[in-house]
Amino acid sequence: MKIERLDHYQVFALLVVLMGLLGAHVSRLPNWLLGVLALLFVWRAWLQHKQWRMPPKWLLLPVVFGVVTGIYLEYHTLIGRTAGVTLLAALVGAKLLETRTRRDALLLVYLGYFLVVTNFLFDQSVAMGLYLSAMVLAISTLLVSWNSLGGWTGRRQRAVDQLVFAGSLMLQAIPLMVLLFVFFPRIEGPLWRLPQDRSGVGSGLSDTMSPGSFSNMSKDDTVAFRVSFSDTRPSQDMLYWRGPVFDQYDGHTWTQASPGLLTENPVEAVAGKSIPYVMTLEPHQRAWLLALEMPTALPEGARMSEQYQVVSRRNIDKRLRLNMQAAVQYRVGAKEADAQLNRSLQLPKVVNPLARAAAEKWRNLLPAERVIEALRFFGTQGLTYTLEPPLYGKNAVDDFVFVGKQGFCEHFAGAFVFMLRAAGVPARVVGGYQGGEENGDYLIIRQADAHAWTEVWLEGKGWQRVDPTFAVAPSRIQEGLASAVGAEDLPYLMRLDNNVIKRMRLLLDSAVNGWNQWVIGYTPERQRELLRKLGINDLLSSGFLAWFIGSVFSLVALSAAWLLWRARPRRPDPAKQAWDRFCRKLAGLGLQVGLAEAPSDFALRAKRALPERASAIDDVLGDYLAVRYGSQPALANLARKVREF
Amino acid sequence: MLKLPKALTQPFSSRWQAWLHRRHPSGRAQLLTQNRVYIFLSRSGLMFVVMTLTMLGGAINYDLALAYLLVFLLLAMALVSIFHTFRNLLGLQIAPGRVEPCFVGESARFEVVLENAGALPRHNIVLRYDEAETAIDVLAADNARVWLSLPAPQRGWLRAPRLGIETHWPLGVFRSWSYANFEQRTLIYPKPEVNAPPLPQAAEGVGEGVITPRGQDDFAGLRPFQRGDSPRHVAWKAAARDDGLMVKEFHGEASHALWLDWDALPPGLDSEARLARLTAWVLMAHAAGLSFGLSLPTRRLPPEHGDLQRDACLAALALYGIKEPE
Repeated sequence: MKIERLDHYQVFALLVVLMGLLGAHVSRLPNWLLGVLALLFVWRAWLQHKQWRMPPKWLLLPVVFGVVTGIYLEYHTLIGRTAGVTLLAALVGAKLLETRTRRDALLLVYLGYFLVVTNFLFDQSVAMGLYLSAMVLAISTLLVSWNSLGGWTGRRQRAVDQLVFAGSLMLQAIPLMVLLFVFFPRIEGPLWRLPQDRSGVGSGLSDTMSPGSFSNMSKDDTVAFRVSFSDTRPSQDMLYWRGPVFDQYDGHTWTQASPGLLTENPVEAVAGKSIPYVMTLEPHQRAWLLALEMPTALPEGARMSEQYQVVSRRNIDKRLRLNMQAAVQYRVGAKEADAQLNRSLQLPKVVNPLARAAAEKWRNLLPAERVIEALRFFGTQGLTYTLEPPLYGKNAVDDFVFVGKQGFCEHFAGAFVFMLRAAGVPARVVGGYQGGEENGDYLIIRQADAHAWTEVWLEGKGWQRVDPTFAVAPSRIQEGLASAVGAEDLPYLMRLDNNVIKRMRLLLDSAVNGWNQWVIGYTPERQRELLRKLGINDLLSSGFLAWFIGSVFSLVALSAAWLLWRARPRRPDPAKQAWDRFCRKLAGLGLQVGLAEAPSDFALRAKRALPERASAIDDVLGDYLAVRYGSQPALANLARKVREF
Repeated sequence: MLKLPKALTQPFSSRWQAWLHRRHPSGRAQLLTQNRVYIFLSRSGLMFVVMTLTMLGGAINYDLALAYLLVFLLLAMALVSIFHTFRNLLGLQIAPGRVEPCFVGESARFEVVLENAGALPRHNIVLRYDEAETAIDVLAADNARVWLSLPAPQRGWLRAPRLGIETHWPLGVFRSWSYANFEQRTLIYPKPEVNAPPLPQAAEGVGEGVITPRGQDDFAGLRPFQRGDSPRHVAWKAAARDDGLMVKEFHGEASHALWLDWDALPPGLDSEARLARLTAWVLMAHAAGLSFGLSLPTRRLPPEHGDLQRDACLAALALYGIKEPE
């Protein structure tokens, strides 16, 4: 293979594209490496500018060795997500100083594709999709430029032409890409796991509840999950998305006992059937799912805990699309185990004497009446619902209920459970989200929708949801957070006023939702679902192969036909046809027109060979040239004269 | 690399050559039709496939929808590029053009004419005669000419090998190629002797480099103009009658002419040395504008002047002792 050196412009174009490729990783690379990379880029650009030679190996090798050692010291490994990306970036920088020829550059560009793909380990948003397209376009333009010659146009025009061609190639490839994406058999991963792949703390609900843990989230308008109901959507005040259940209290923090897992779903639907829905859950790095109360059908691989929380085997580290069902009118836990009930009566010994004393007065009532009494107590105590409650002391429930009287949902739920337990009713705090914002045919549930409510156990009825916040601020549950507190304190998107920007943001969110549903959420399960609609029940069945291969082939054949049709030789114009006919006649007389012979030269030669036809030849030539130079009437003459020749 | 015994490869190789020759028969112009254009992954294409498969492994393992998307986009682009690469050669007409003879040790030049009747331009068409390689674009409905240079190691005919035509455009993932047999050939003249002795004296005492003035009475007739003829000898009146350029010829030149004679050379010289000296003298005599004749043991060229005479003499020297191929 020939060694073809890149020209000046190609080197600089390569540098720019590589910067774009590395750019998306900047936030992941250590600062010292960014410095080294910048130095390598400047060095390479300088060498190109000065037309100097590449640095020798003995100079480059220590640099590479140093950088690799540095990466090892930084991460204590060279594999895994972040270290791997860092190493890749360093390799690209080092290879740059060896890159003179197209072959070197090709290797760099292929490494560049890996730089693109490693982004997706961290982020698969719509923005990343756009970035992917831009980078493939840029790299393809480089490839087209390396495989083209100087060409017949100016440099700038040529660059534009190559960009346009690469773009059209991409557009032509898109139908095929979609087919491959839809039909390529998806396999449930992973095949292997790298160390350090479990990433750090995500946002969202915590596995404990202490004062402030929910009110802090009310400022966060990032999306927790999206839900679409296929037929009926329950009313807003029924939308309780169940998360962790807190049943242990130490006077300050509510925590989860580690419960066992149920083998069967104990939830019975009352009045009406289960409601199916699809949830697209954003990764939150915890091993639980959110589910509408109460879940009756769980997604594949999920289990239900003894406290009816839906848990998964692994931390949720990527976006999931989950098919679930729920009964909003339900009956569960009528025959609860004693151990479970005892856990739900546990209280710390010494704290909150006032609340404890107040609640103990209810003990002579029936358990159900105690709950009603507690709600009445909360409703008449003059409590207010606020995003910024004061910080309470050691006896937090006393301080909240009798002194400060300002609280957010965690205060209401915590105090309510405390008092019911003191009154001898098994109760526990449930964390999760409440409500959701309607956007077209789906709901957006944001972190700010995080909510805490309670659950009480009544003999013969089982666990019942009670939301003390509702007793104080019913509009929070019926209309959402924005109607219950002042709008100024809320994140912009959570406010109630509907203006243009909010509408645009919602429009954007539906695009994001579509992306999540159809691109990111295209799982093996989803694929089976879609293929079933096409009548394919089994991957790699003959029906599947017929669909897959048939559609790929017909698409490929179509695009080939289109291309060849575009490239087909055009019919020569009538004058040229007449002239060709004339030449064929002369060929019959033994006179071949030369490949590069101009018509006038050929006519001269013909006249010498056939002196007796000289004037006829002159006539044909004259008319042919006349037509060539724009005289249309001569065309008819020409055709006639050739015919008669 | 595994080397097969020659006894095994030989029949295969010659059959292969015969097959190639049947598919690409020799002739003047050759149209690259579908059955004559081949396509396969190029070297960098193989690398590309390995790379995309690696990324596909990553996509499956980490269940990355965007990685799937990238892999499929790249694969789809490569598939689409097959047709562009194939189309880039398909329907191209290739014809032999002019040839330029040269002296031993120089490069002989062969012209190839590419004609594109199609409505799309053809990019970066690489033409190859062994190690001689050049690349060119051909615009839509246009033609292009390319010169290929081959080294000329010995005098006589130099036959161009089978012409290879290939392209990697647009992405370099696929390589499309074809062949054409033109049997283009050109003459390789003997290498002129360096520091050759001066020209021998012309017969009848005519001085070296002196051209006797020709009178109108010596006029012998008209012949077509050739490059190297003096404009003074052009028959302008005939030219005005649109008969093309004619040149007046004169008698009496032959008698004063210079003879470059093989037999008159010193007996110590071998035949190649003689050819070298005669070649040098032909060039010197032509440069001086002399009329000269060449006498070889096998041929005699009567004295003439001009480019045609030089070329005829050089051809005779080049082919001295060589059998003319059919």
